[in-house]
Amino acid sequence: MSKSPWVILGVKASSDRDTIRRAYARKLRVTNPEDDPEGFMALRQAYETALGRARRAQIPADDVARPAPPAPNPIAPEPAVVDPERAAAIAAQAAEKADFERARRALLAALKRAQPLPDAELQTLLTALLALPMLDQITARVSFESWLADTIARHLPRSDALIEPAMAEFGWDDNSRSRGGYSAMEAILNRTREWQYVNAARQPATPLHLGWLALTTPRRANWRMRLAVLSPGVEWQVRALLAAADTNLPGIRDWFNADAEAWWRDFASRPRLRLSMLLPLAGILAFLLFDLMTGEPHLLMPVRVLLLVVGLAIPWLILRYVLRPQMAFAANGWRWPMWQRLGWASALALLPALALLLPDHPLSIIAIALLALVAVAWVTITNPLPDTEPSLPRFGAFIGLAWPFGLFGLRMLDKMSFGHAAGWLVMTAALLLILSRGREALAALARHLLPRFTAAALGGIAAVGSLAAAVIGPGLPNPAMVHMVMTVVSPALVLLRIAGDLTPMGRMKLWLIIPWVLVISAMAGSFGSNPDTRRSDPYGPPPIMTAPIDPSAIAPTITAPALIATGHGVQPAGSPEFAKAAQPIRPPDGWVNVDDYHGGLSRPGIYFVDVRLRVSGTGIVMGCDVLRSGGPANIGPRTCEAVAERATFIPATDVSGTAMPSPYLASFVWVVPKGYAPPASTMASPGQPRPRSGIDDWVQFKDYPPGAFETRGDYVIGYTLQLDARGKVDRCSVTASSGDKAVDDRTCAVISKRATFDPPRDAAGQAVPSRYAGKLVWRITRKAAPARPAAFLGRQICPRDTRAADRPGTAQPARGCNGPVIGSGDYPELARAAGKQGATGIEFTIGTDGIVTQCNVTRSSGSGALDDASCRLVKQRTRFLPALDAAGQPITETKETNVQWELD
Amino acid sequence: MILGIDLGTTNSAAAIWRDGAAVLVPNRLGDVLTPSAVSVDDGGAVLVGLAARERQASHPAATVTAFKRYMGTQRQTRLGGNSFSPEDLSALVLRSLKDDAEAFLGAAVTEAVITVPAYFNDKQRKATRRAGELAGLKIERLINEPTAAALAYGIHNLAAESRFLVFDLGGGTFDVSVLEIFDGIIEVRSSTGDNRLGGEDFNEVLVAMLRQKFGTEWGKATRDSDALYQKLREAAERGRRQLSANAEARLGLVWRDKSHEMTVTAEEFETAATGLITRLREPVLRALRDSDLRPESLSEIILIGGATRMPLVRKAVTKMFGRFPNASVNPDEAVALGAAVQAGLKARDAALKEVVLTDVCPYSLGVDVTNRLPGGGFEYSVFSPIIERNTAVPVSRAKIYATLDDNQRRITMGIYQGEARLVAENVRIGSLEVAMPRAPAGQAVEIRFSYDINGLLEVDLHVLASGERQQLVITDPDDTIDPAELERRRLALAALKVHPRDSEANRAAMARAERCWQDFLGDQRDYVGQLIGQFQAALETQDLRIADRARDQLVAALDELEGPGYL
Repeated sequence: MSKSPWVILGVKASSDRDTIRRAYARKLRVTNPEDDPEGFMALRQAYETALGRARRAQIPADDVARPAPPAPNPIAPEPAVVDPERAAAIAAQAAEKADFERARRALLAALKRAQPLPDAELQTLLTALLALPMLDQITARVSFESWLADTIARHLPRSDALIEPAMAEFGWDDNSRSRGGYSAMEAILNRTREWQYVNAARQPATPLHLGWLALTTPRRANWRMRLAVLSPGVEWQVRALLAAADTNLPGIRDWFNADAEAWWRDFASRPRLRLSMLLPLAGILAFLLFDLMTGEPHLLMPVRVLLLVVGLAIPWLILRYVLRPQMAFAANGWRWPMWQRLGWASALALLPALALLLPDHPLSIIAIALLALVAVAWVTITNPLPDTEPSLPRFGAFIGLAWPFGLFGLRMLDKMSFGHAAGWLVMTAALLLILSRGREALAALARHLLPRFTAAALGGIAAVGSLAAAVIGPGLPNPAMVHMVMTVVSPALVLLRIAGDLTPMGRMKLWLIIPWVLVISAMAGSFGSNPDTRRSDPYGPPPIMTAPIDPSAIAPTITAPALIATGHGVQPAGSPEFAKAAQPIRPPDGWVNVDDYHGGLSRPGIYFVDVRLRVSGTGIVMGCDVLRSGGPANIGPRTCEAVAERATFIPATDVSGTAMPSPYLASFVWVVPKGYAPPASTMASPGQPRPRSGIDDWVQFKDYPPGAFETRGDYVIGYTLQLDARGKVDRCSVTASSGDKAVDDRTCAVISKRATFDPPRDAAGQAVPSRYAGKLVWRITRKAAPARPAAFLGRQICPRDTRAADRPGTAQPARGCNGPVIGSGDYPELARAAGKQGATGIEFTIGTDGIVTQCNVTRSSGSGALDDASCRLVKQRTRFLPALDAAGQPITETKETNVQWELD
Repeated sequence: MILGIDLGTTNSAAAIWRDGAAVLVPNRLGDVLTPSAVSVDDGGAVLVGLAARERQASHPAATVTAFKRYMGTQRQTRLGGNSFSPEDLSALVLRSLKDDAEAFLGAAVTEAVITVPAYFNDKQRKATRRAGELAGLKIERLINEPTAAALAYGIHNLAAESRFLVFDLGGGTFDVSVLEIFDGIIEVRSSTGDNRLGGEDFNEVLVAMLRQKFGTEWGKATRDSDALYQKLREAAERGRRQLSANAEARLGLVWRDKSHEMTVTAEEFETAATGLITRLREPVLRALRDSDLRPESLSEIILIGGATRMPLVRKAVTKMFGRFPNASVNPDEAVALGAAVQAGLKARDAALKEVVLTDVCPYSLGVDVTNRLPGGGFEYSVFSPIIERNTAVPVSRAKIYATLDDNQRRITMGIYQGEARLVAENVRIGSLEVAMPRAPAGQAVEIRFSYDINGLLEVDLHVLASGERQQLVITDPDDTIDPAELERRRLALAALKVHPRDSEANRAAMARAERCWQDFLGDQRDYVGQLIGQFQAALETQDLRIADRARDQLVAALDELEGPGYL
């Protein structure tokens, strides 16, 4: 199709404009635009191409270079007519021209001066020049305009000040002018763009300001420059500025400091460690530090070392394996295949499962953490962001901040097992990925996976799933499951949320955010409901040990495990001076014996355990805190448990002789000689049962029966548990009452239900039934609510054994007189306001697990609110020992009772 | 026979190409210019031309002028119970011209070439074309006014190679064209203008001066009263014409039976109009830039358009070019004559066999696009011209655009005309939508604009990935009128009662006399009243000769009173 223009025009290639024009005219007569538009278009194209070539061939050739046809009636060359008006006009014109030339030369001279004039003076010169009447003439104006453009372009940057007034006068920035590639004007326009850019960067609030400062201020010492790099965003801004200077705005280099620019160019030539990359390291270090300082190390020394190494290696790894390949990819414009860009999402879905499968071991944290890191690296490489995108440092900072938060959170919830920890890590990693980099990739994945799902189905699934997680989460036997559920649900939600952007389901966003909030709050609730019996500590913060055991006192000749124990009472912080410290009735040596730890002391070494005992005013050990422990991870808690059980004190007294609570510090040193082998199963005594979980797991704050003690104070319950061979509680009896039978019974019932033990084993290794004695303190820390004038009612739910006798095979009816289960605070506000009272007859079924499974109102009190509340409260609050059949197996049972609602 | 019509803002004219020359067609009153005015009298009959314009000051609510400025809009004017669009009003003027031509030629005229300002956009051109159809004319060509004027001049100067600039300051528009003639080719090099600048703006300057002087006296009426405004305009127009010949002019009008007069000198007028004079410069510069010619190489500056009669405009042009412009062509008639030349070209008249005219598209045509900025942001609604202004027509140009997003389903673009970088300041003439195949970002579509010789645009799309081709007809939602509707409107216009041709001259004279009666006070008013009585008596004789004589006397008497009538 591309015929040579010369063929179309029908002439030989020529650079003669006239030849071309004549040929065009000749051809045009036969290709009239009226009749043959296509032919005309081709001809015109050929004509313009030919003219363009001709113009390029003879460089200065311009159509005006040829002698212009003489103007027929110019003012000047008509001297024959002596018209006074005309003559005056000619004279005036000459004068104008002279003025104009003078002003023009003045401006040029000003620009060429060795000593540059101030901007204002230059502008004044130009303004004066522009105001001259000579410029009303089109000819003069046109030639002056191009002269001015050339002059300004040639004298940049000195002529910067002239650009603005000249541009206002001639409208150079008017887009509608065809500039025809006039280079001087292009240069000036580019200069103005540079000015705008520089002015923008100079504003303190603009995104490039820090980078601008870094490049324009003189270079400082090398270390200070390196320090400057650490401030967030600087490096990115400098890169953007350098890129602008290298591409379309070369003039902004006039403002740069040459040294600083050279330094930054060198710096930017290689990928660097950024502050954000060091943040993960900071997180891990902070974690280790915290672990060390709190004196109860969770992690074994080798694990700590490993973590440290990993922490140090992370930035290097990111640099080496993430950023450099990413740079290479970006530079080459490669695109990863789909599966590589999106595969991580499915791998991520597998991580929670993996976390569940991994054994409950510190190493699993490392494994999961490494996997998560790999996932982060993968996503970062395969989903590169544009270089200039400022979200890259933000992403890094996000990782850096999120990890320590996760780890700290983990550490703070120190009851969490390692399984929890892995779940946390995975969840953090998943959310991180999804929120930062993976959005686009996930969107693509969603497009692949979910094209056929309707909006409603997706929204419904997400809502039901997350609501289910929120509802059943706290009820799961293993709290770790909640986190696992969360781990799965969170990415799923985000995934669906993103899918919502792709399909016409704008409204679904709301659908998804609500359950999301519910889940988060459910999660928070599951942590918040833990009883915090240590919230206020009258014993003060743990003091530093003042009487350490002299290691030289330990005889090196010991051949069998030995225990050295000392202790002394100390002054509680912030309480009145006591006259006498707490005195142990038996010496500390007797509290613990070697046999307590036969399992943990298989490795030779010297293990220290420092504990602080909280001795109550009655001489009972209320609690035991491990201050320092070295050796097997569980040596500290085990020591504490034994001590808390066996130690009894004469309480400390103040000057008036009144007993008062005080701390008591005790130190234990376990010496396990080399070559010592534990006696394995040759233990003579069956030993003690060991609780499988802490006492805090047994009893929770919400178990406290309403209506019991409401005044501030400690209520101690001593109890003894009869354990069967499986380690389950057979019977619980209260040995020391708190003073309220309801509290005692409730405590016993709860412990019976929840406590499990590793049963002691006899010489043959068979588990045997045993006893376990313990104490539990209910501390009321809040001020009691003011007594209400309103009802106090239905103190107890003591169901009458109405049906037990009727039921064949029921040997033992369900027992348990839970109460008071309903307090005055439970009185429904509606009913209270309406003055409703009465008794609600209810019938309820106790399940085999002792929980009320069903409750019906058999006789109404006359108020729906009271009836509803009766059943709801009974279902929520009562727990029974289930009825047993003749074979001793728990069976369901139906009972009935009255709930009396009375207003005082 | 194709009629060449100059459909102007203030005056219209018609001409034909006959026997190797363009000949102006006189109207029923014997004038070559017919004012572009429409009026409806008390009987519901439609008046067009001078008779209508004379009624403007006396019956402002029943008379309309300068409607060309609203061409292409939906603005409706109510006249005597009927509602008229600018197209309808133009159609009435065109029909009047057609009738005159038929009377002059003694043959039916069905085809016409109509001139439009170069800066008329697609919408306005289509409206003009429809107006022609409503008047029962087949529009053979729309031709740009400056091009027509240049043709009228150039057709006599074909032999020499020359370049010249046509400076056309009409009643409502200002156009500048640069033309080159060589080897019998008349080539329009560039054509620009300001479609909001014309003689009417100079009138407004005088109106403003009057208002400034008498505003406090008139109070609220200065702003609100249309009747007063029409009187002011009338006074300004007369004053401006006086200033063309004299060093000062008396502006006078009667408002609420009170006579107001002020004297304006040429210098005062010039000072007041400085802003308008400055606005004349930029289009000239732009036309020269676009034409790639230097001002020195122009052989002539040709003045066209009634407003160039003003000495201050001539002075400004002289100053601008440093030489005296050529005023050899009658500025009022050149456009109509040029249209007739174009009609001759179109009809392949033997005398014009060797002449070829190439015109340009005076404005850029393009689409709106979104640009990805280097920083990753976006710049929306940027105008991307496909056909640059002052390209020779017919022309066909294509540009390639690409999708911004992955899986982008469609590309929707507005089609714009204008020169601003952002489309918001350009004229939207339509839109196009392309379905794209699902694919990564960067899928290309080629958009081809074809602009034909009549200034109508066609768009072709070519989706490069799928090979799909599509031809779009640009439709403007405001602009879709089906043929049936057009026919209905044509019939409705045809059914309007029109004043009998014969009595038009009498009607015009009477209208003028009535206006004068209103304009004068005291003895003069009584005198005009007597004149009217005499004229009416003469008309009632039903004798044409008596009526004609009485009319001549009346016109002569009025000329004496207020100066000669003008067109």
